[in-house]
Amino acid sequence: MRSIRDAKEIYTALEPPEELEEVVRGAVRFAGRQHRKRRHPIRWTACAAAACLVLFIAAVNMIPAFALGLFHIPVLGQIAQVLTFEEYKKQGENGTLIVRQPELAGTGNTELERRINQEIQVKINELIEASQKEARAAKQVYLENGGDESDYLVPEICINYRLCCNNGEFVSFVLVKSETHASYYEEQYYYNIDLETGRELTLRDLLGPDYGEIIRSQLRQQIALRMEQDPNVSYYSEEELDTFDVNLENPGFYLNEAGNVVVVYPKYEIAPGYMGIQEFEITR
Amino acid sequence: MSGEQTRITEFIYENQAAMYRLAFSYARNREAALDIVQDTVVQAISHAHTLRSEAAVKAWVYRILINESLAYLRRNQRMILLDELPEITAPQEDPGAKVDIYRAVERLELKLRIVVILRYFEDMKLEDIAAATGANLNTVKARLYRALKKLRQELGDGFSDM
Repeated sequence: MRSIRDAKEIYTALEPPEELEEVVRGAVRFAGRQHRKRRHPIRWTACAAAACLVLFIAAVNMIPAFALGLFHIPVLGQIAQVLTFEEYKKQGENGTLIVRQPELAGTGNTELERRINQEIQVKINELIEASQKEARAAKQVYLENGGDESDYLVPEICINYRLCCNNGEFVSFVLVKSETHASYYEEQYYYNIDLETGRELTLRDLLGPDYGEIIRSQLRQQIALRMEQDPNVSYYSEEELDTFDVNLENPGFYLNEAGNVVVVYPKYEIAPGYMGIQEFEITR
Repeated sequence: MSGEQTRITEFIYENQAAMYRLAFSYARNREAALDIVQDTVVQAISHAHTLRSEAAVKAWVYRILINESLAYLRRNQRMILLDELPEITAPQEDPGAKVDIYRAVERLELKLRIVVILRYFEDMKLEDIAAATGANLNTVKARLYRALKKLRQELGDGFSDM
């Protein structure tokens, strides 16, 4: 009589490559250090730490209020702010939803605020709808495969924001969606809006016409430095990235407190998954 | 290191070969399996605080490993199709029967295959398989049942699931 257990010896005969031990040891060291020094972009305990994703970035150019000069003199002491518009938690049968929605205020430009805030609202609605659709589909599959309704692990969707820069000249903030479930999926969208012109604020606007080459060369330097400082850090080579058609020169970005561009590459994009989301500050 | 981190790290060092094999059974590619194990180790240690002390470390680590494997597959869907099944060497006294069974397991769809691997090659309890795959116990039983039925169809009489 043949049995599945007979095949076990074939399964276990697969010898791992020699470097496995070194890979594991390196990852353990890396994780130990990461744990101490990693600064989570968002401290919001209701959000599970897993799979926090940068989904939406709006950089708001605050110059227009001043540029309009005589016709639009800003009230003295007027300060642009990113505030919490509303905060709620919903427990549905398909999942838990936690939302902290930002709004732009105090710019002295109501038209600009209305447009940005509406855009945020639309994006959040889209994210919620997509998540619910996904959650319903996941539950359907679960039930069709003989799953018991009462044992179903419901997903938790969390939408939150982080203010990155507000220096009087620019306002930049990030909308982050994280999803915790048995498994997760990732999606990223970046929007950078120049509210003076009604166009998106581009890397070209901020870094000049050579922005692609500027990003590439600074990436090269910073990656070399990071790899030199920590042997457990690794990135794909430029040749590999070009083979896979990774668009290095047009990443998502936000502005940091100093007003500098920070480019963001999603998990897996330019480095192995264990490295997580990768950010680089680009200076002119 | 916290107590959980120490437990997890010890488990990882002792079971790295098994973790590699499981990752390999998803990715079917050496480099990818190494990447998945690497990701899993980092994830497991940095999320050690979410492991409840009484929980089975194996099921918990395997769950992360399976999630990382699935994330890898989703990202590399096109590339996986091009990869070939691994070379396997049959023990000398084996007339091919074991290899046949192994091949049949490999041809199972992913969800069924993983349950068979965990049950028969990793000797895990059904409850732990449920925890590791994020499915409930009944789902695991249903998958195992379907897998065995398919194997029986393919391998014919004289095949036992014991």
